[in-house]
Amino acid sequence: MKNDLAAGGAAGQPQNSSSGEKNDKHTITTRQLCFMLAFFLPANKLILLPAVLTQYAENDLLLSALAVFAAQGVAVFALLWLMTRTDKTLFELIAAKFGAWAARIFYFLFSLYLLFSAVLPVTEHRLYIQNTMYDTLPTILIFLPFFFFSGYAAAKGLQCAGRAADVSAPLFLFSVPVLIFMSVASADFTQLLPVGAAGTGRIFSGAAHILSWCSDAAWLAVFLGNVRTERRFLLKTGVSYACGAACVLFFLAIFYGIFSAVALNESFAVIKIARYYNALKTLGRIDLLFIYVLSLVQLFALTLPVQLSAHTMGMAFNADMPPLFSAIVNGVLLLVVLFTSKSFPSLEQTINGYLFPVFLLFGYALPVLCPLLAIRKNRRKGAKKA
Amino acid sequence: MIMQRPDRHLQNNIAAIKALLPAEDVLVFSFALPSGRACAAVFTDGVTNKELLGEQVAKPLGTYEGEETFEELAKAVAAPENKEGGDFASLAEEILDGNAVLFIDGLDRTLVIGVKTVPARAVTEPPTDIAIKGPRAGFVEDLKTNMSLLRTRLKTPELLFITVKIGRRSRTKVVLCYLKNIAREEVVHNIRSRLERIDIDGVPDSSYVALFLADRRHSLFKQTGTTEKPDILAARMLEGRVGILVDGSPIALTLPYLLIEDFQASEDYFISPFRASFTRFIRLFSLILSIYLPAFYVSAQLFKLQLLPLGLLLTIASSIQGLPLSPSLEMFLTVLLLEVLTEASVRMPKYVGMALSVVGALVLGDTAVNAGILSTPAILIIALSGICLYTVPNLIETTSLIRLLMLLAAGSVGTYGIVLLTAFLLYYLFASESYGAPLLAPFSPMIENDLKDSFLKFNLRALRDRPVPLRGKNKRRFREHEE
Repeated sequence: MKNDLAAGGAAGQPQNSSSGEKNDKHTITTRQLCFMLAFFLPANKLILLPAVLTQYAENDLLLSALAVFAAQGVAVFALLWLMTRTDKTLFELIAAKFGAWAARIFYFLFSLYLLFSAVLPVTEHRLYIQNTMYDTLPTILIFLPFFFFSGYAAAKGLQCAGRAADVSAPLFLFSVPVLIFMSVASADFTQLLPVGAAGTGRIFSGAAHILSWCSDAAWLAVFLGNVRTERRFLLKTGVSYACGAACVLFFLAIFYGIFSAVALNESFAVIKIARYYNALKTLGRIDLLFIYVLSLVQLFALTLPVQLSAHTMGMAFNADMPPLFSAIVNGVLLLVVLFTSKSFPSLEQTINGYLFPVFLLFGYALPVLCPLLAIRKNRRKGAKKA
Repeated sequence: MIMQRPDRHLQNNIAAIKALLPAEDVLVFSFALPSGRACAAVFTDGVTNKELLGEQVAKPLGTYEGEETFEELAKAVAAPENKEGGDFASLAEEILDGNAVLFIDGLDRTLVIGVKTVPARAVTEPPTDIAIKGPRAGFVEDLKTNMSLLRTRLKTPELLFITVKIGRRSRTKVVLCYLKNIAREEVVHNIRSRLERIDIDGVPDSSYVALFLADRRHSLFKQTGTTEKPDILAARMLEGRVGILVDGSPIALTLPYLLIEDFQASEDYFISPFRASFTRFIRLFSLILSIYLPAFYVSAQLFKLQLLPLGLLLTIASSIQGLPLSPSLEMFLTVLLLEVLTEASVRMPKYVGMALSVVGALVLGDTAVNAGILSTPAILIIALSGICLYTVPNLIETTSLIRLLMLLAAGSVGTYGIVLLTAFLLYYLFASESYGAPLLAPFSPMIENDLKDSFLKFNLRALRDRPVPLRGKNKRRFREHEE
């Protein structure tokens, strides 16, 4: 077994690094990356995504999701492959190719993208919390403590995100399988038939509208050069990604199996699927306890892009001040949440409808292009040798 | 002029040492060799064994008829523990430490004789670490006794002790003990340098030292392990930890500290692994219950009634009807009452404490319910939470505080407050390390090998390797020999 403490780092080491300099405080293990792919990836796709997908793809929601996961899989694979080829961070690769200033500019844009990619999940999470954890709709102020947590977490090294993934594994495995067990008996899977009935247009429309939820490949780019790769790295991480995607697909199948025609009205799917379980009549809503446990994983997953945004911003400005960048990123996010508190549908429409090319660029195209940074370098080396 | 070192004149030397140590309990025992040469033993009354001083020093020297050189006289002294003294400052330190210093007229060299005796209580079972099965001996206040208790369990030359004196006025001996090659060298070095840097006037207990050894100055969680039992200290040292014994304290410190070690009782290793795993899960479950139960009760009442089954909801509704306090205030008040009762019962004399528990638990609780100030479910929940808290006694300080914070979060933000605070505390723990060992190991970072001795307790033969965050060069506990 590899010594995980090597990634854990020893006390007294510097907190952060600038200019892409590697630091144990930002190193995670292969297992932690696998857990992120398997548990962080599906955690926040179980809230609004099922209802949105049903709205566009109807009973073919699985095909839409499958198409997105396949496309994202290519991007994920490209970055994972690059991790096996180089131990350099993306910053170092860009700096080596195009110069330090280019790397800084790219990292600044990338940090803005990561911040932007967190807007919809955070807003969605606010609605989810307000609707599911309270009997009466509370004020938005109830959500504000989230930013204290997010601010604290974003100021920590990427190592902490890896450790959060370690803890998320048992929490996810303790909650989601139980919720699925409670709901699977109520699902009528024949509602998903006939396959392809919605038509290709609706399937692709559905896929396009969930791109913002499924652009996880982008955050893998920040971990480039910060993962301790081990034997069968590609297989382990690939299987983890497949497990995460399969979990979402299975959840979507159950969701549509239970709600079918009215599924598009059933937002906050995760809290609703288990409520028809017979034992709840006598035990009370014990499924809520599992949902609260899952909320912890969702919180960790939600904080990851915020943390990565603060990290990349710090590198873009070549400054070792994690609390400052955490405060900036969270401050901006807080303002966005406050300004859009009354207009979630239009926010969702804008991000998923008009701004989806941004996700296509940063979440799909750039990760696929990243391996070129290494390949071209190898060719040059080959030419020199010749 | 103040003398730095002893000279050949006995009276000068005695005057010099008395000038340094003018206290009345520093005595001078004068006697003479058969040749008539005067000698004087200077010692501290009460901490020096006068009988031994007479038997091992005065008696043999009083009948000594050989050559009167320092070496020959030192040989004649029958004490097994003696050494040559240095300057007056070091001699004064030896005298205050309980040793006797022998001055001989005509010689400018002195002999320090180990005749220290400290009024110490007997080795008994410590009240905080009671074991149904397994060794019962506990540490006492005397450092040497504690060192010997450890030595009897680890009879290896690899067991090393490093003594550091801390306290400008108390000059307390602090002993760092570790097993060479098993403990990490950098941890030993780090602890030693931190110990040597401590500049304080006195060290009444090991908890003072613990504060200086902590990685974080202000931490919600414990940062050093503690034990009162030598068998536990020996077992922890065999895992790679470093022990710290402080003269005058029966509590030994261990470093690095992992949070999981407070869930591991010594008898877990003497009973069936199934039973041990079960009891560890009970401890975890109790701890979770003690922290979250009051908070969820409050949040369920205030924000999410669906959380409770209908029957229970009706029962609670009938018992809280007409209460003047809000659920959160009621629960907060009950927790505070429990904390006050706990504090008072610890401080009060034993017999008054018993009366207090009767008054507190029965009279106060019952009267408060009858008077309509508190509800029965609130008292029941706090009683359950209070009992559960004591299943992990070493974490009481932290968990009782977290329970209050959870109540505050539940009362103000509801269930989301509880979830957020939990996430915050977890992140706080992710970022916490003790001398390079992550506090949440082996869960975060996950270390497969060490999970065998976490909440699941595997058979001893499965615990072949020492815990990864703690071990030094020597990684294995034992090797299997084929029969």
